[in-house]
Amino acid sequence: MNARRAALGQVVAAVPLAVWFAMPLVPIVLWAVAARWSWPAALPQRWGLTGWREAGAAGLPSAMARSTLLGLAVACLATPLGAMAGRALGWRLTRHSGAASLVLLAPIAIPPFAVATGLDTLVLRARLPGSLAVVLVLSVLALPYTTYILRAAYTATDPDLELQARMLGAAPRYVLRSVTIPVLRPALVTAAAMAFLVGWSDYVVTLVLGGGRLVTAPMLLASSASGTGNEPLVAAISVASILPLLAVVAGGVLVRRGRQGRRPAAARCRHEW
Amino acid sequence: MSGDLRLESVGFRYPHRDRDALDEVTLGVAPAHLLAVVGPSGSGKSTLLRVVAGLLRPDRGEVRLGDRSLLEVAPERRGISMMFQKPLLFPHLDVLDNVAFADRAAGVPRARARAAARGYLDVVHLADLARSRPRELSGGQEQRVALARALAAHPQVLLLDEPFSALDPELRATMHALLEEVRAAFAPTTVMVTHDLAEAAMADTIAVLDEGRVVQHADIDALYRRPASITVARLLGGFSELAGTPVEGGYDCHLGFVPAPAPRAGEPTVVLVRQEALQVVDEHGPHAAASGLVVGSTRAGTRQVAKVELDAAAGAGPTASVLVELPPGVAPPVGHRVGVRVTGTLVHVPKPSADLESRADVDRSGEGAVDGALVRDRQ
Repeated sequence: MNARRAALGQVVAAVPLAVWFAMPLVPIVLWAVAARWSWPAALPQRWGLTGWREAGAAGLPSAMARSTLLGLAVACLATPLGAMAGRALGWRLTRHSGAASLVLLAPIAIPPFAVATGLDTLVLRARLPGSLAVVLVLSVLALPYTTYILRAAYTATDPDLELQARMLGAAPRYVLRSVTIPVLRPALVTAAAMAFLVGWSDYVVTLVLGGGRLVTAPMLLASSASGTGNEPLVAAISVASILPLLAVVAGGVLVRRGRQGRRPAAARCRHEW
Repeated sequence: MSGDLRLESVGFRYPHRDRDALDEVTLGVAPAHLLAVVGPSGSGKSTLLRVVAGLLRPDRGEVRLGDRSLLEVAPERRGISMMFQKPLLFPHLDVLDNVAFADRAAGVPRARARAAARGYLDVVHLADLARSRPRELSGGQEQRVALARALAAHPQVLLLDEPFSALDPELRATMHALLEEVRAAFAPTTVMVTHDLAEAAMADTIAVLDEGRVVQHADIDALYRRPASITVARLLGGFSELAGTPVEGGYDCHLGFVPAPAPRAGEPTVVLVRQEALQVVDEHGPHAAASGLVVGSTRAGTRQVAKVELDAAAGAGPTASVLVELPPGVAPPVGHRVGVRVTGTLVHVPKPSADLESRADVDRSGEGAVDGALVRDRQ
């Protein structure tokens, strides 16, 4: 009886949450499959895939591919760096954690447009390729998120767990592969997803440092939205832009649920007596 | 499976600290022997284990296993297993995979490693929990798995860092029995850090650490009968410290004349008396060596110990207090006057050179220490 009541409570709590997330998406989903939708009609008067055809012609597939690669590159860079910083902060391996936190937070404390414009000058002087500069700067912007997610995970994990593995004959690389990464897996997945989203959804840094040559999904969306007022086109690009984010969130939820079903999360490493 | 472990003049200081955590530590453990390391908190016990394990590198000195120096050997290659205070089971592995971990790290195929692990789980009587997850185990079961896992690494030396301290007394007794079984079956050279003197009594020898130095290394009997210093006596507990004045053939103290083989003429000292060596008697009876006031009592299980403040005695200075173990049924109330009699052999005068710190303490109170002497029956 209690279990049923708890399940019912979860559903009741989930409904407003779903409405909160879905409400802004409903109009663009409808627009993406509409050929004509005039005010004050509640639903489109004519359905069609005009928006998707125009988005394809505008270069949506290649922009999506660039955004995905950008997100993956940022995740690949910011996650291990965040793990290293999170380890140092979470296990208090540094005596200057306050200063380290300040350095890590600085990129998101300053408005990104100012950061991007300032860095653009430096990047030009350093003759760095634009796409590489975009990846590096976005990785720095993603670092606070990955660091703080992994710092929490490290704090909840006993540092002696790694020492125990070494005292059982495991070399450091084996410890990393067989103990550290499996124990921190949920936090690593979450951090990587956050970093991916930072890379995927960025507009300002890509625009300024990419010099307009690196056309990603958000850039295509922005240029379409500021253009002729072609709502089906804008809606199709918007919907397409959301799909990878939904995939990341769904993947993260599945990983967490699967892990919780099999065993406790990393926080369980602190043993209770 | 066991090796001869030796530490020679080992010194270690943590960064940004102003004193050594280990200072000139020299210790040896014979193959298959169990050494217990005791000492107050912060005395360097766990640091000592971590140096032996290779988790800390000593600033000076040598650590040897047999004729091999371990200083340049990585922790995972030393042939040493360590059990920490917490079981530290890997939460993402089941019990069997936890025990099979060392073999897997050595490259043994999973099926073979798991088959071997079953044997070690049998040793700790947990074969039926092989598929369980660590979170499903009780504290005692977790420590038994941790012990099986440590043994499965085939260590020459087993290091135990207060592994049973968080268990309740009944579980601790079970673990002690299990440890004896394991020692009989595998005979690893074992070093165990503990705060529990009863646990330390399992050991072949006990090393007492204080401020990073070994102040005594002896068997339990010698430790209780002849503590090398006042520090050791205080750590063991149950000793009373009495100021003694040398006289011909012994010392005068609050308990009267205490004979000693070679008292140092002219130098006052501290006489240590075990609580079991004293008895409460009638204040005016013929056996009372001294009399005083019961000022407190403590109970540990069925044993009760009274604290008696002895009257000032001629030649022995102002009042002093002694601990007296009471027989069952005898419990003089606080405020009651009693006589005290010395009945046993556990009276000792520590060597002055054995404990500079203690001598300094004594010196501050205007007393001194002289050569050691175990005092026999003074009846």
